[in-house]
Amino acid sequence: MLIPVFRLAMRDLTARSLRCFLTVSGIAIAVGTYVAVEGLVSGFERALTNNASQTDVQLEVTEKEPIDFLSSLIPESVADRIAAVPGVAAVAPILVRLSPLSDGRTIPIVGWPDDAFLWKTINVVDGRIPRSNQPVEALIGARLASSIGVRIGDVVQILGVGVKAVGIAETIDRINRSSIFLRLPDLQAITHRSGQVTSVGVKLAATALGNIPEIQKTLSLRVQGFDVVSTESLSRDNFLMVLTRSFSRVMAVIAISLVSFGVLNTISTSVTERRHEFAIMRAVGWPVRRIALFVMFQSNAISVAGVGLGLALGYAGARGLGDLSAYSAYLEPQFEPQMLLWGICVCFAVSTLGALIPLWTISRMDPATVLRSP
Amino acid sequence: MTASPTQVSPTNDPAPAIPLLALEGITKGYEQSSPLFTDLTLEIFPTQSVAIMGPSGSGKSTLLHIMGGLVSPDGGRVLIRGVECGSQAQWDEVRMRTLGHIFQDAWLLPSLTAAENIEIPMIGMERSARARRDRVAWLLEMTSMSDRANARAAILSGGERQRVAFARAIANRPKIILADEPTGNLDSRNKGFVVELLHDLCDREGAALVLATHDVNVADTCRTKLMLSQADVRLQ
Repeated sequence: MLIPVFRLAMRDLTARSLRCFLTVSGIAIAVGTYVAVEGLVSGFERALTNNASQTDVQLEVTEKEPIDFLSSLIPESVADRIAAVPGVAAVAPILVRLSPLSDGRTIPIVGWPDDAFLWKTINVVDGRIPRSNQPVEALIGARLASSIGVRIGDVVQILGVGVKAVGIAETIDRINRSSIFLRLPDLQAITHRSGQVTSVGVKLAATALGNIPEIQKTLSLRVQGFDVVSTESLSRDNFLMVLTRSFSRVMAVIAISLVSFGVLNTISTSVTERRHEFAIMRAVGWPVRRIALFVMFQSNAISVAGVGLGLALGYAGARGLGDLSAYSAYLEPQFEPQMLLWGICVCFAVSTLGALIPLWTISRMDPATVLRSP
Repeated sequence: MTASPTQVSPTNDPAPAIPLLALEGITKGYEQSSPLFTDLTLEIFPTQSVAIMGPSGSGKSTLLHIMGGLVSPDGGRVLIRGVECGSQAQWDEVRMRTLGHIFQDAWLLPSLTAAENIEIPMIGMERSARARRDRVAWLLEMTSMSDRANARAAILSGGERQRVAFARAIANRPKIILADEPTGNLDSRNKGFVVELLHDLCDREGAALVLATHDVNVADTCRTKLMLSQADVRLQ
């Protein structure tokens, strides 16, 4: 019995191609919105986490409880106080500022000391790392270089100063690919942060990697008045990220509510409008459960099409928006299977409810009453 | 309208012991109006043809709908082959196996083809797809609709829709056909053809026919007539 009911349900759907298309489009737009918002926010979170974890830095020393990573400001000399701690292989003072480009984008400017181990964590694919301050030299992330058309020897304006591109760097994480790297003294001079850095990156010896909490405690005692945190914690628990995550959850709730109400409204309206047809089915002997099966086949088929199209739209939209945005350095959409699964489950649950609730109401009325109604 | 206890049974043929369909003490009315029937009793036997006549608003359609379980009576019982139909599940079963409905407006599913509309009642009754196809083909042939089998119901003419509705009504070989003004929307040429077809199909399938109409000519094609009027219910 399932096959003929399914066949008739699909025939009935395809015969209403315009109505079907509009319903699928409504669901696709709602699902696409949810996927794009969630994808972009997750991508931002992932970009910050990757940025911290791709550079061989396990711990970072920052200002005490900074609102976010960029607002931290500590003396560069802190690095010398922790370099000798057992288990610490290397330290690197890091200064990070944001700078707008002439095209409106905002990119990170990163300053590392000449001898910092961090230079070895990035792959210079063309040219070399900065060495001179006459003029100020810069290593440009490959993605940024490509998008603004900078080649070696070109001058780029950052923070009101022209810097000469001497190398192009390829990195794994998206943020560094869109960053500009300078020598630490140069960036300190440009930003009037002489002797100050955002944080001190700590690389642990291989033998100490199993004992990070203990070393973290030791470092905290050595540099009282500062925070010593893991790179994951720095990117995960700072104010900016907590705010982003909260924003993400709110947007997810809004998007999933949009999906729910959109699907519920569309499907239930569609079922209510066809009450005469269901009354006819009952008049010719179809039990309510078979009509429910018929409607379920249709609502789920519409959901499959709407969700499929919505995923594609959301994916393409998030990628497009991410690339167009002034903050494209941070916006590489990340699509978590768990998040997608949630969206799909909610969509199917709501479409099922949307179909069955009006059908239940109709089934409680005499078929003749339904047929006589306008 | 008031109604007196009325019994309809064949006058010429000896009546079988158990009627196919029986109404016992049926009472029905709508809000803000006097009852359509009070304590109405009626029996329908195999192969019988009954015309229910009366002016508009006299309750012809309501009576047919009560017989088919499409409207619940305010009081009384409906028995199919001696068994009272109380639950929705019982009515579903009866409508699938024993009753065939024909409505004035045909009430086809507009998005499906003529053949698919005829097949609908057979789903759940006839498991074999081939048997369903064969039966649909035969019914289309009987109703002279073979060449319109794959036409969507929405584009069929009024006469064609009504013929498909007839075919759908007898698809499961019901024992009783309940036809509500089956010629109400047809012109005189189609009307004659459709009435003849209806009787022919009922004869072929051995089904009783209960037909609601206000058309005397159509009613005259039935052996028994039941007149619903403002005063009472009379057997003619």
